[in-house]
Amino acid sequence: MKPPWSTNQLKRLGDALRDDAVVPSNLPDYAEVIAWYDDLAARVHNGIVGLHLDGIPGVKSIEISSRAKTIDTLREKLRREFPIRLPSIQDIAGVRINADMSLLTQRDIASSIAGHYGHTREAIRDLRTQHHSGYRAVHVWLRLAGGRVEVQVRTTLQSEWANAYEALADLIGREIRYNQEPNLSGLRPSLAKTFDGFHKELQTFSFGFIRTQELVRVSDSILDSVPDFFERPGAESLREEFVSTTGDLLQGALDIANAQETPPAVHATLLELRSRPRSVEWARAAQDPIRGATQAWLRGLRYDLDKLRAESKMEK
Amino acid sequence: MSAFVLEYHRVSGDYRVTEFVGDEAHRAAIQRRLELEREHALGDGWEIVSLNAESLEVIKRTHSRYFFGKELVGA
Repeated sequence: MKPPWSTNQLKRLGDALRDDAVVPSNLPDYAEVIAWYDDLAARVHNGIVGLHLDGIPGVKSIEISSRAKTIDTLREKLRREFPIRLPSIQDIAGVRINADMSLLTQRDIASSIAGHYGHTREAIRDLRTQHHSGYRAVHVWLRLAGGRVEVQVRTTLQSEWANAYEALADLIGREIRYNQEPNLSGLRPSLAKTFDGFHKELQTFSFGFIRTQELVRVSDSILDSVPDFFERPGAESLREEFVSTTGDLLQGALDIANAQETPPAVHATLLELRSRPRSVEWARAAQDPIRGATQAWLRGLRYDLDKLRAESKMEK
Repeated sequence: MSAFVLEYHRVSGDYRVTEFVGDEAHRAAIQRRLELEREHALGDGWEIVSLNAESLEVIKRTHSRYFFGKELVGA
């Protein structure tokens, strides 16, 4: 269904929002437009629920939510990406999908959604390989009769990382999401240094530890459908890499488990795995506990952020 | 599908959740979001968002950033 206003009217409404100007009476009302986009997001959300993505092999714990962009972030985008106009903003209507899945399944889900809405692969934005301030996800850019919708498809780890990074951005400046340095002026040097270290550590964590873990999981997921994959000619080096990289990840998981509170069962499993002989079976068994420790670390960040938040408030 | 209006303070981390249920939940929620936006002064640090999902638990995972701080209960 097409919206009851023209593209040109929407452009002019966006200009007024960007400039904090009074919206002329011949333009659509901001509230009507946002309600329209919220409805559009809810319709796509329901359409995606109807695809039963949880039936795709390798998808666990799928979770879907939708929203219309907030006024603050809409205005911020119109200003930051000037001369962008409102109808060209992809994510006024947004749907977010989280699932425990491999990188291959993540790509398949994005393709299914694009295909369902009659879009080609051109609609898929793979943000997993290049550095977007550490952000990794696959987005699907839908262009529907009712307007544009952005569908964000994220693995559980990518989602938890993105939420931790956004929470940090709320404290030290949302510009860090766009490859800019945080605004740490006004903080005592030691606190500014802590925030800065936190920021850099999170970025490195995304493109180092999490990405490596997810790449290794691809091999693990291939073994689900092709159990003798590593026995095939030429696969020896891949097998060795799978096992040795898992060994590195296990050590990394133990390091973070030692540094921060991790569920005791996960910690005990990691220790037990370290003492076992290494093999493909061993590496496969290690994937879930490594991921569990990583999730615990990301969730534990909220306490660190709360402490930093309290310290920075005391200074202001 | 349910809908939730979240009032979230970016600096303090405090948040308040209001749930809407029923077939028209997301429409009622977006209207409440728009009302709250009008009540808040621009740049006062409060972010008002309306989110649609099967349950609050889903929102707490897809948008966990909003739940790092302290929940405010009541009006």
